[in-house]
Amino acid sequence: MKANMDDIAPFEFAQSARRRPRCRPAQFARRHPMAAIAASIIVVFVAAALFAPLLAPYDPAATDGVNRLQTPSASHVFGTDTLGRDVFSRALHGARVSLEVAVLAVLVAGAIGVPLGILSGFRGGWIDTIVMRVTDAVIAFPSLVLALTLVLVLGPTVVNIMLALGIGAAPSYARLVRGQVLSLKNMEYITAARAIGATDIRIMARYLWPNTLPTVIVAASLTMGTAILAEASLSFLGVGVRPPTPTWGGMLNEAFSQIYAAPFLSVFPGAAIFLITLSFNLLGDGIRDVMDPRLRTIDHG
Amino acid sequence: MSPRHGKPNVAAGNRAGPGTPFVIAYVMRRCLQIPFVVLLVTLALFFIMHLLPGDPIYAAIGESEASLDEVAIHQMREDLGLNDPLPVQYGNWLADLARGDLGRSFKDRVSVGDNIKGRIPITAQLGLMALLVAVCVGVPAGTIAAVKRNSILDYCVTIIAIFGIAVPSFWFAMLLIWLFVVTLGWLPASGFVGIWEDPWPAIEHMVLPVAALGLTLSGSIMRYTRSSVLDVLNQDYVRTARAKGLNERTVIIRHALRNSLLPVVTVVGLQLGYLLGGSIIIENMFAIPGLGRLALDAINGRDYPTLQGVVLLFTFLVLVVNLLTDMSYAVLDPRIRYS
Amino acid sequence: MTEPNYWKRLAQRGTSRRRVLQAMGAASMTAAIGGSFAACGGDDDATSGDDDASKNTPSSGTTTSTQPAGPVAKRGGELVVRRPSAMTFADPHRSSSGYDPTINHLYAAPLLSMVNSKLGPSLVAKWEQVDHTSVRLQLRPDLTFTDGTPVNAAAVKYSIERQADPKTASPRRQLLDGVTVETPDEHSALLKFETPNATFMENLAANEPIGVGALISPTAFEKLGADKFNETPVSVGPFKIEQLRLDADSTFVPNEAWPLTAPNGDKLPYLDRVKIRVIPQTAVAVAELQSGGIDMDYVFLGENVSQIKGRKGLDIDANKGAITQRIGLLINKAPTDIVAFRKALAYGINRDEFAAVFTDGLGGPGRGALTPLTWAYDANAPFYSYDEKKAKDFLSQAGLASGTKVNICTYTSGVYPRMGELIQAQLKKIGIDVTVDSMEVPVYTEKYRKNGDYFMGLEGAGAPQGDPYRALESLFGSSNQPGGTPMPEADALLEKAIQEFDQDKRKAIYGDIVKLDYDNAYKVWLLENVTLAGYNTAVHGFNWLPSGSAMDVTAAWKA
Repeated sequence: MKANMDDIAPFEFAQSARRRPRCRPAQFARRHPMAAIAASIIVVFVAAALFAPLLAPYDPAATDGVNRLQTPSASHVFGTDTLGRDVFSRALHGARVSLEVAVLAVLVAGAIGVPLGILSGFRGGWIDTIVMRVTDAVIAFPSLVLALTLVLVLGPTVVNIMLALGIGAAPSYARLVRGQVLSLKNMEYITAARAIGATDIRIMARYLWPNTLPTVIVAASLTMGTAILAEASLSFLGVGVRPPTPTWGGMLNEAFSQIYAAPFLSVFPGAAIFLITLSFNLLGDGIRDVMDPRLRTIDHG
Repeated sequence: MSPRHGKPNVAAGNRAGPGTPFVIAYVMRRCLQIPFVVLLVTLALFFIMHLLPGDPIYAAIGESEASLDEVAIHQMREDLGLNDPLPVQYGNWLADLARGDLGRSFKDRVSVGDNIKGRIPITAQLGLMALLVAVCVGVPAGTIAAVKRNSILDYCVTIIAIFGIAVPSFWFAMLLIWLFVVTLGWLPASGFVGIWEDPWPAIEHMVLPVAALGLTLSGSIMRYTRSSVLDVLNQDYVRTARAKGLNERTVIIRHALRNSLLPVVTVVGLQLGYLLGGSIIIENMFAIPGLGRLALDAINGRDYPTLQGVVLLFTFLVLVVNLLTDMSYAVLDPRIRYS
Repeated sequence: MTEPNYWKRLAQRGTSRRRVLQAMGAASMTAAIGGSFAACGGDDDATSGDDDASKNTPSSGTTTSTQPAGPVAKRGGELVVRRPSAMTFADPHRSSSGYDPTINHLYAAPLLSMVNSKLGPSLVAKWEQVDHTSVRLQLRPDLTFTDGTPVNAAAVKYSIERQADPKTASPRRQLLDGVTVETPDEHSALLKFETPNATFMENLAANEPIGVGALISPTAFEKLGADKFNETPVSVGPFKIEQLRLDADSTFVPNEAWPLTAPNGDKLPYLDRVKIRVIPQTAVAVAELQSGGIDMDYVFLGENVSQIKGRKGLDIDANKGAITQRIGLLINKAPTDIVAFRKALAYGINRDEFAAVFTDGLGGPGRGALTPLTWAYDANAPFYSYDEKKAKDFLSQAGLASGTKVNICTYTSGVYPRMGELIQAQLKKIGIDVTVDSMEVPVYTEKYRKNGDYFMGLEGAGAPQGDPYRALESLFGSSNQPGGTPMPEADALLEKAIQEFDQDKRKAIYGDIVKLDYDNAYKVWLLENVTLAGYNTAVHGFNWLPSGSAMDVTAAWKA
């Protein structure tokens, strides 16, 4: 058997990924400063989301009509919104919902898309054709129309929005993973595994899946940003999460109608959305650089 | 990742290799599959639409107290064929489609085909201009960022690109309106003039919507170009070119750029779906009477025939473009010549 | 117009609010005076309208608008008006949107006019209540449809019968139950009713949102068929259609054959063209108003007032009392079927906070179904005010503990979702737990109004001028209750009112209906709101249509 660097490296990685982490935080931070900063920003947001009830100075749903639309001041760090609610408290609680929707949407997309992609790429044949055509169909469907329609049908709750976004994103994961598997499946270690009698399932689970992980993780980090934006768009179109639950998208939508009277309202949710999407993108870049600099993401950059 | 002996020499350009009949068969097969996928989509859409809460009749009648008049409602349902069972309704729609008739809008009884035809040039103008701007901005920026990797320029471009991806388009649109319309008064806030009617006002009206729509697009193109150029710059043949003593500029332009642009072109094709979706929000914002707004109004107004017609068109377009991009993959990279 | 510092100053809300209130004081005084003139002594329906047809116009712009009567009308110019959404029907017999009257009335003028709650002539020169079950309409002889065919009694008969025909599926069908039309001669039509109807004439003064005053050309309709007629309707009005796009911009040009004139004898209309632009986003429309892209927007929101009031060349016109916003209650399901619980809700809402948040000081707390715009308004009628203690007392009187759960549904558009949130927050203070669901119009109609799936629904409707019969019927009549709850007492009173031809006695019956509502807290009245129009001060001569939510621009002109 010819020992070719390209053939062995992924195999080794698959094994080693389970035994010891390839990168250590300090090394990572030194070599990829942007990604490290991004990671810390994410940690801050996640902490804010987790500890929102403790950190928020006011009840996010407590209205105070007399004090509406106040510019940021000592008592209200981010000001008050159209109903007099404290924007800072709402932003903190909004972090929870927005992040929750994004994370779950990504998980749904991965849970649906990755197994389908592996199956389709590995087995080929009519399974592949069907999966490819179905993913074609879903991708062809304008994603906003799909999400909008699904949420309208199911009802605008956090769960349904996450489902709609996840279903919309799943096909790209499937295609991504399938492309990877197509390249991998003719590798010699796969042939070797077959030769020693490994079942298809074992091959898919033990060898193929870990190798797709880096790509999937990078795609996931990018999808997080897309999901948060999609939630903002759905709110803009009127099918966001129900009140009084604050979400960044919902806050942005409300701020939008006050764009003349109180422009400061749109700064905070807008900045929050921007920062977190930025951070996820940079983090994804950093992870990709670490895992394999030659890795290509097939869906979006 | 090269399972075969040696890499295919992509730098040699579009050379139809030994698999040409294979490729043709592949293309034929995909072409035949397109109508099935389109029908699959319309079928799924049809049933999802009828799951939507809210009767189309109530959408047409509106909020008035008369919306509870049973007689009128029954008559309207009859007129629109809503009293037939669902499979019959879908069958009727298919039969009409076979004759080239997309039906009549539930809302205002206008022919759906005419409605859509009238709006295609409008959305096309918006979308193509956005694409043009995004490519003209994104490709050079991405290339420079890749060439000067990890420099300040690279980080700037990356951050601008992510800014494009991370900012909600409607918010950015409003910012633009506030700046250029309200404060500076340079541009109109809404409306549409076809470039075939009157070029200068057309461009005036298009600047803000194209900027808003093109922003995200240019962001992803920038990032994708960057990563693609980076990949190519690490390839053996580029190293060879450098080793041969060619100067950096020649290396980039003659060898690297041509090959890195191919994946970018395919990505641009794949962004069609985004363009169609983004046009929904932008057209709503800027009061542009295009297909995106038609789709949104159709969803809100429960105007099923119109929505079916628009989705049919979108789906068909996206599938054709997908096919073309997959074909370019298959022709140029024999590794992916499967299924 | 483009002054960034202006914008910065306006951002300090305190000063701008005061200025707005001062200016509004002036405007509302005018409107109130106009309204009170109407209140003391409207016409008895038994008399005919003015008989000097040639001197009267359907809409005399100078008497009721808040513009000074000074400047002389100039001819020419184009008026650009904004609409927030597409038209559904251009066919005046099928349309029903609250925002379309401005457009509809341009090319399909109604048979009668209404100014300051007073009926007046339009296509009909005079009318006569022959007896309690028949009315004779005398048409002007000099009218033609835009296709050249004459406007005669046969056309009136055709139009009314078409609207009454179930096959037309017109939302106006119910108004014409039991109405037949005879044509004794070329230009007079005799309307006959099965039962006495003292309020029917009001329906002829408008065709939008629901009114039966529009005529269509029988020839054109027979030729085009219903679908094509909707794309190119043929009627008669001060303007005719130049280009009609149901979902995009439309333009209208003067109808040269329009015989009605301004009070001073000027030929109407003055404008060269009216252009209607569809701009869905309010924020964008405000930008267009500021930059001159549009001249008028009558779907204006209070939160944008500050953007207009300070600007040179722009102004706000407020139609006070034109909209009432309220919570509708489901009366046939627990706990909203308990009177004490409903009273608890009524006492538990802080209407002043509502007025502060949603009307920017231009509107007031809601008191009942009637507003000063109608002559039936009684300023002394009892109403509910915020009283937290009474609210909690009634809650326990109803036998309900703190934490009672109810739900409310609202439209997704405009301010309604936020109103829902405010209700939620306010009722939480008295121990009622409210879930808010926002949904679009068709879902709202189906779930709340038809099926009664929600305990409360946020309702808002125009409080029109003139006789409030239709408004009260849509509020308290059995056929319009959410979930189909029967309302026998209200029905009986409404029945009595419609057959009472003495206006004072009718006003007393309407007062009884309002008292019935107060005693039973059928609705929780939130706001007596204004409809607003933002406009360019170069535009003069417009006034509010009877529906109260749209403008009549027939006599409008641009300086």
